[in-house]
Amino acid sequence: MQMISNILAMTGHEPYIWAAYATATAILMGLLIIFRRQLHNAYTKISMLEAKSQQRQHDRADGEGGIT
Amino acid sequence: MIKQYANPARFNRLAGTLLPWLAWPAGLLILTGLYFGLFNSPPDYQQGNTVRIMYVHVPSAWMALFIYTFMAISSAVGLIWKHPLAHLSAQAAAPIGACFTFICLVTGSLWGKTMWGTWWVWDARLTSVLILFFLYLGFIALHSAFDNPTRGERSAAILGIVGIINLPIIKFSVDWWNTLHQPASVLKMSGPTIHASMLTPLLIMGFGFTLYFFSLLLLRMRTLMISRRARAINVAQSHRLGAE
Repeated sequence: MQMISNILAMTGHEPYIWAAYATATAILMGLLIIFRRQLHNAYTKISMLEAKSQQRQHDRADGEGGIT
Repeated sequence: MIKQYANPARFNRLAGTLLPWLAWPAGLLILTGLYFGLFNSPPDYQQGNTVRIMYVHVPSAWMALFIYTFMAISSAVGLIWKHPLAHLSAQAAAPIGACFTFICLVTGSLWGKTMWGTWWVWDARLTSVLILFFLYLGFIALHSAFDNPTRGERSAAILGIVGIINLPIIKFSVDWWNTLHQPASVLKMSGPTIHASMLTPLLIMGFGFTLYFFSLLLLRMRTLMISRRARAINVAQSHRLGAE
């Protein structure tokens, strides 16, 4: 317990040390969250586009069938 | 052999298999490094506990240099052999490299304030790392500056290759010029001059950051690949609509 409180106090330099660790954690975790969200959005977009494209092909095939 | 992974479906499968094998060990290594660095390493006899900033500052600096080297090699492979994944991996690596460089600058500044009494000095090491950060930003900006993505890729690749001249300047700046920054104590020809109790967490953090970088790289490459496919479908659809 004493060791943990000594580490947390960091002999007077605690704001600088914890600010360094907080900055690194925030940036690295932020990157992970942003990249995961972008991947999820990209998957959603591509599946919508593919569904739309398939729908259009079906519509065209139905249209051609109707004319003949 | 590498060319077969230019196929998006195959690359996606490989990336999906590799990701957990990279991400979980990365997390474990970083947590272990943090435990050793914060609780199991001694304070420095001159700097006291402030030396603990080193466990994020130094690995971030290594990553900033490593990722730029990776980016420049990928750019060269893309330009010379025109491998489809090369430009993509360089593009994916750039923001990660910029973030590691930014962490290096911020943590260095915090360390400098406690040790030198100032946030910033225009000395050779600090200035050359700031230039590296701008090179990353320039690479990212050039990629998206052109309507034609191929032109953007080529221009960014040239900047990436030319910018590699900055890496030896960063590495040897502390030997070539008088600087406030301390000289190398780990990556030295004569071996590290740092005690094992501090070197161990430093190396563990370095490995952890490297695995974390490759995890982020795979995530980003997958996103870029899917976005390219989406763009291609969009273009094909608009051409088809135009023809109709």
